[in-house]
Parts: sequence; C-alpha cells; structure tokens
Amino acid sequence: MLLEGHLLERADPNRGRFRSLLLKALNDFLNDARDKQRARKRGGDVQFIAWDEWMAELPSQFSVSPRESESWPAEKVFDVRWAATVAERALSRLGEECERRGRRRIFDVLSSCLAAEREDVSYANFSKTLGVPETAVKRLVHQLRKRYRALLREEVADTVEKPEELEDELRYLCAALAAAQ
Amino acid sequence: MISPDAIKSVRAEKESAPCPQCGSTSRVGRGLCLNCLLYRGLGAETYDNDSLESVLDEVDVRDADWRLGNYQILDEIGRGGMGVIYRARQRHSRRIVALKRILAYHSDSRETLVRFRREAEAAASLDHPNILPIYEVGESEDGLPFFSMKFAAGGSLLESQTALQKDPRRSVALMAKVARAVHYAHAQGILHRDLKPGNILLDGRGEPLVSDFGLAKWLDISSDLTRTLTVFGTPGYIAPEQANGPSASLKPTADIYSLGAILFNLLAGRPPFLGVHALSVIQQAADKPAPKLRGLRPTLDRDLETICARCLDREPAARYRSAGDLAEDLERWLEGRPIIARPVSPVVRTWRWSKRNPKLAGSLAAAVVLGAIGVTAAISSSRLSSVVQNAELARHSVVVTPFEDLDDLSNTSPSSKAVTNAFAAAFTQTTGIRASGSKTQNVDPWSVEDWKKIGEAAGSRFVLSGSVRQREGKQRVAVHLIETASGSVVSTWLQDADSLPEIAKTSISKISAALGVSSAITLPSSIIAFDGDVSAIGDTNNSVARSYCDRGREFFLRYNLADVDRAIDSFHKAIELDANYALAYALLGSACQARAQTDNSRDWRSEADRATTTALRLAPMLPEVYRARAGTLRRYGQLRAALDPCLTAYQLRSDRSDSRRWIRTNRSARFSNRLV
Repeated sequence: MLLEGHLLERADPNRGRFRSLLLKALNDFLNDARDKQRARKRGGDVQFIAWDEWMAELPSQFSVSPRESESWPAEKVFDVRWAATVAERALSRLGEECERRGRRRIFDVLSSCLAAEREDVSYANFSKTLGVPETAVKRLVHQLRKRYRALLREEVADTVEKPEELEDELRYLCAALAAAQ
Repeated sequence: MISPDAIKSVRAEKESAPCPQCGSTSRVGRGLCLNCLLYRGLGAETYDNDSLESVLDEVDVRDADWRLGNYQILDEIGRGGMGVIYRARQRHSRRIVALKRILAYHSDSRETLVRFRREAEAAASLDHPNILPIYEVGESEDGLPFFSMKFAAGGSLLESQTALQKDPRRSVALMAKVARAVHYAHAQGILHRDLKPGNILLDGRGEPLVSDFGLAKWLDISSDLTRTLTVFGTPGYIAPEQANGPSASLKPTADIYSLGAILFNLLAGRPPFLGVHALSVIQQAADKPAPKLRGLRPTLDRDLETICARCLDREPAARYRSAGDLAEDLERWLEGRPIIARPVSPVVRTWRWSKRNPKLAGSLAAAVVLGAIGVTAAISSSRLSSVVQNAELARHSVVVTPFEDLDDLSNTSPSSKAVTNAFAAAFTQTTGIRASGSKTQNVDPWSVEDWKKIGEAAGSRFVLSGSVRQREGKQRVAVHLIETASGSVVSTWLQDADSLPEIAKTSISKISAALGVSSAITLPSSIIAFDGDVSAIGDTNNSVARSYCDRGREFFLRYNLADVDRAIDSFHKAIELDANYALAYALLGSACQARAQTDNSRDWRSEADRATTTALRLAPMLPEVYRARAGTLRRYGQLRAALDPCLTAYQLRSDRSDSRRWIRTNRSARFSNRLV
C-alpha cells in the first residue's frame, strides 16, 4: 500500500503530519509536470495543476496576487493551497447548513464578517440590508463565527493524527501564510 | 523549485488588494482573506446556549422574502462557484426577470467592479432579436454587482435537446439564427467565450436567445474547472486553443468551434467528445480530431457532417472565417442549395497534421522515402526476405514501458524494474512475440500521443504499460495493452498474484490471445479483464439516458444542495431509461454520499450503498465504482479500507494524468494519516 511503502519512511517522524508526506508526493508531481511541458502545445499545461479532484473537492476560488506567488517555493504553494482547501470546505459546509434552514441569504450577506475583526463589522448596515434589528445581526454573526470555527477545526482535525495536534496544525498553516506574504 | 505551471495554479485572473487587517493577498470565495479565516479557528471555544440553527430559525429573513435592488427574488434557478441566478419580479412593472448576482468577486477591489460594470454594460448594448436582452446592471446593498435580463420561459437547449434530436431541420434552423446573433456580437467586438447548450435559451415561442455575452469569465456558472486552471468555458464546447492559451488572444473562431459543438450535440445526441470528467474531454479535443457526425448518426446528410467538421477543426484558421459564413451555410442547407464548405481532403489533413507535428512528420516523410527505395532494391536482392521478416516481427512486437510502483510513487524503483523485467523475460520465452524495453528513459506515458510515439520509436505494434502495488500480501498488477497505430487501449486487466513471474506468465497468455497469436484462453480467477479501455465501461447505448447522466454530472459539479438533488434526480432518470447503466449508478452513489454529509433526514447512506453495489455488479472494472466505494468507506470512518478501492480506481485507468492527482494530492490524507 502507498502508505506502508518507502514514502512513509521518508515522512518527518517529528512532525507526524500527513501534510509533509504529501509534500514529497507533490514534489514528484511537479517534477512530472515539468517533464511534460513538451505536451504544452496540446493543451497539456492545464492538466497538471488541478489540485481538486473532480468528485472529491469543491471548485476552488482560491486566488493570490501573481506578484507574490511567483517568488514562492513549491512547499509554500502547497501549504497555502492546503490551507485554502480546509477553509473553503468549512465555508461551504456553513453555507449549506444555512441553506437547509431556508436562510442561504443570511450566509450570503454575513459571510463577509467571518474574516473581519469584530469591531470592523458594520452591524447597522447589515441590519438595513437584512431588515432585522442590530441585536439579531450580532447574534447571527456570533453564531456564524462560532459554527464556522467548529467546522474549520473539524476539517483540520481530520488531517492530524492526534486531537492535541489540531491547534499546532492551525498555527502552522497561519505561519505558512504569514511567511508567504 | 516550483514549476511555472504551479505558479499558474494559484494565480488569479484578477488582482486582489492587500487585506486591511493583515496585508495578505490570499483570498478564497467571496474575496475573504484566507489568513484571517484561519486565525478564526485558533483559541479556546466560547460557550453559550444558542446554536446557529436556533438563531437562524428565530430571524425572519427567509430566502423566500428576499429583495435585491428593485427586484423581489422569487426563486433560485441556478448557482455556481461565481454567482447565482434567480427568477425575480421587478417591483413596479411587475415584470418577471432573470437576475444574476456575482458572489465571488473581490469585494475589496473597486477596479474589479468597474471592469465588471463596463463589460456588462457593453453586453447590455447588444441589440439583436436572438440575443437575450440585459435590462439593468446594478449593485445590491451589500456592494455585490448584479444584472437583470429577460426571463426566457422556454428554458435552455439543455432541456430541449432531446426533442430537437428528432428534428434535424429545426436544430439547423435554430443554430442558423444563433450563428447570425453571434456574428452580430462579433461585429460589435464582443466574444462570447462560453457558448454551450445551457447558454442558448428559448423564449415562449421557441425562438433562440443567446445569453451571457462577454460575461462568461465573470459568471463561470457551471464550469468545474474554475479559475485555478485559468480556463474559462465549458468542457465539450470550448475550442482547444481556449483551454490552451491566454484568453486575451482568443478570436471569433473559438466561438465558431463552440457553435459547431452545439450543432453536433443537437444532431448526434452527444457532444463531439465524451469523457469521465472535464479534463479528459478537453484533452481529447486538443489531441484528436472530432468524430465524424455520420459515424454516430449515419442517416444524417453528408453536408451537415461537413459543416460540423469545418467548425470543429482543431486549426482555428481552417474553420469558417466568421459566424456569418456558418449561418450562410446552414441557411443554404435549409434551402436545399449547395453548401460552401467542402470536406477536407486527406492531403490537406496530412499537411495540417504535419504543421502541428513538424518533427514527427519529418521523420515519417523520410521513412516513406526510404521505404520506397527499400522496396525497389529488395525486389532484385536477397534483402527481400529480411524486410518481410522484420515486418512480420513488428506485427507481433510489444514494447514494455516501465511499470509504475504505487508503493513508491515512482517508475524507477526496484519493484518497478522487477515487474518490467519479469514481463520482458516472459516475452522472450514466448515464441511469436518480440519484446523490447522502452528506449525513452524516464518516460511516463499518459496520453494517446505518448503511446503512439513510444510504439513508433520501438517499431512495435503494441505498447504494454501498467502499475504494481502490494495488497494483502500479494502483488496487484494492472496492465494496459495499447495499439501503436491508434494509441487506443485494446485490453486492460487486473490481477492479484504471489509472484511477478506468475503475473507475467498469465498476462502473456492474455496478450497472445489479444494479438491473435494463440486462441482464446481461460483466465484464472485472480484476474479480471476488459477488452478495451476502461473509459468505455459502464456506458449506455441509450442517448437520452446518457444526456441525463451528463446533465446530472454537470449539476453535481456545482456543489450546492439544490444541484446535488437535481443531479440525483437526473441519475435516477438515466437509470430508469437503462437499468444496466453502471456509470449512472456509480455517480448516483457518489451524489448520495455527498447528500448524506448534510442531511440526516433520509437514509442517503443506504441509497449510496445500493447504487454503488449495483454499479460494481454491472461493471466490475469501472473506476468510478471504486471511487464511489472509497467515498462510502471514508464516510463510514473505515479509513484504511477506503484506500484500497481508491488505488484500484487509479490502476484501472490507462490515462494517468488526472487520477494521479487524486492519489497524490487528494485528501486521502484525511484518512491515511491515521494509518501512520
């Protein structure tokens, strides 16, 4: 099996995260992609970089300034892309939960608060947009944030070995992004 | 170091401004800052008695009461990664409109909004009876842009294509009008870039209305490729050069290709290229000529075949020069006059091909010349016998490419070499088949063209390729036998065995039978085989069932609840029409699993199970069945068990480019970490 083969032995035992193992696979993958640049004229260059398998992943809307990404090493690209997948999964599940209760619009309007600092949220504007009192907007934003946080942690928990590593993994991903800037 | 392609994967079409809080430019959907989103996950949990569900239920903001600008939202008609479409009512006029709202633009960039508005207004200026009119371009209270347009009561060609198939004249008449409309827009300097059945709407009287002119890149409603691939358009309908090059260099001929693909679909009942997923469709469109229309529907007129072929030529310059010329030919056909387009002669076809493949063409030309000399000389010399002998040998020769070792993710590992050598050794002991190792070092074949080149370089009639991995103490080997001349897989088999020589030996009997060297053989029970490429497995002969299945897949790829439900419905309809349609069962299984994740009110899991089991019974070598099986096991928490079907799915496919991604970068991580 893939994971009982040599590749496993090469994963960093101290980190214990599967991300590092995948990183090795990614490097092979990128090397393959380079080998195949000869196939470009057939449209080959769009083939190799789709990270999202068609049935297993969401269509990603991840983007970053080209000026920044051009200087990133492959490892950074991988970590950041991984982080984006985790966050997008959590967002998408949150949206679906709202849709199930006939409240997709609340998610559409208030999801912009999920990344914002509490004091930067203009509750008055949202209150006007949604036609509900500010107190209701505050409660909604609070619950959306809480639920998003739980979903994000669930997504990350699936990718670490032990529950206590969850916080570390999140910090690692934050640091990867910070270093990427 | 990173490859330029990888950079492209994270490069956005639109520039995002730095986040005011942290300065990062990394964004996910709706322009949210990725860095800030991750920080939200840190720290201790806050406890209160409320839950999201209870607060949502308390607030009286039902989706049903939604207003946007001057419009009351009635219901959602479609949703995709970038935007959402509603049926809406204009408040004072009471007019029913369709309203599209962009969700995923970067709300922090005014420049983006200005560009969107400018392009939407340009599209709104198009005034043609067969172009869907845009009424208003606006911005909602939360700063997100939207535009309203005529509501086309007749739906789109997606819904009516089955009926149109029975009426080629009506299809042609309709496409002539569409081509005229596209020509008009081209004359105004606006390309469509995403013409497809879903974008050709019909009004109440059945007249076609082309929608989304110039806006495809903003909407990208149904494309599952998204911007990460920097491809805009819909697989099956976009021109090969559109998938290949920067969108800025596109010409009107790209739209003409799409018009041809739509016409082809209306006449033949399927688009020119089919594949199990978007990427394989795009790759085929770039790699091989479109199939002949009459190969699928022999009763159709030859002139229609010529018109489609002219539109679908891989060389943009060989297509109709304008959409007007296409309209002209369609109108001529309707009136019974001779069409202008001529079928492409073999000479022209060869010339075009050699333009695309200059090196290969050069060496082939040399081979032809040498061949002629050889024959002349051979007639009068004793070399005749050796020439004949070599040709005879080449008829039965097989070139073995390095096997891929899935335990090591390499094709140069000891295990990979061992299996390759075992095959070569077994060949040399078998009379009638000559084997050679692939001369191309580190070759990692993945497409029809690669197979052909390897086979041609070795002068072999067949190419043998495959993969090996350890499974329950045995070696599981998958083998693909590919014919050099066509690049197509003639046989695929999968075997579990204790030793490599054992696998090689049974495989040789299988190959001998495939080559016609020996008569048919009885395979041991440890081997399952299919004579052909697995991509042909699980399909249906019922074109209506197939179109339901294709539609279901398109819905499924939109990843929202309403569309997953629509997908499930479509797969059910496909199965109603063909109860042995394995692919539809497998996809139904996957869709039910997706539903199980968010809905506990119904036993989706059992439905997924039943569908997957049926698919497996109908087509034991269909890769999608194994993918669905892996998904089911993963959701049940049987993580270790899920990896096996996932790898088997990978092994079964001869075209590795896409499934390799799945193995390597997918979140098989999610379950595999628990094995570590």
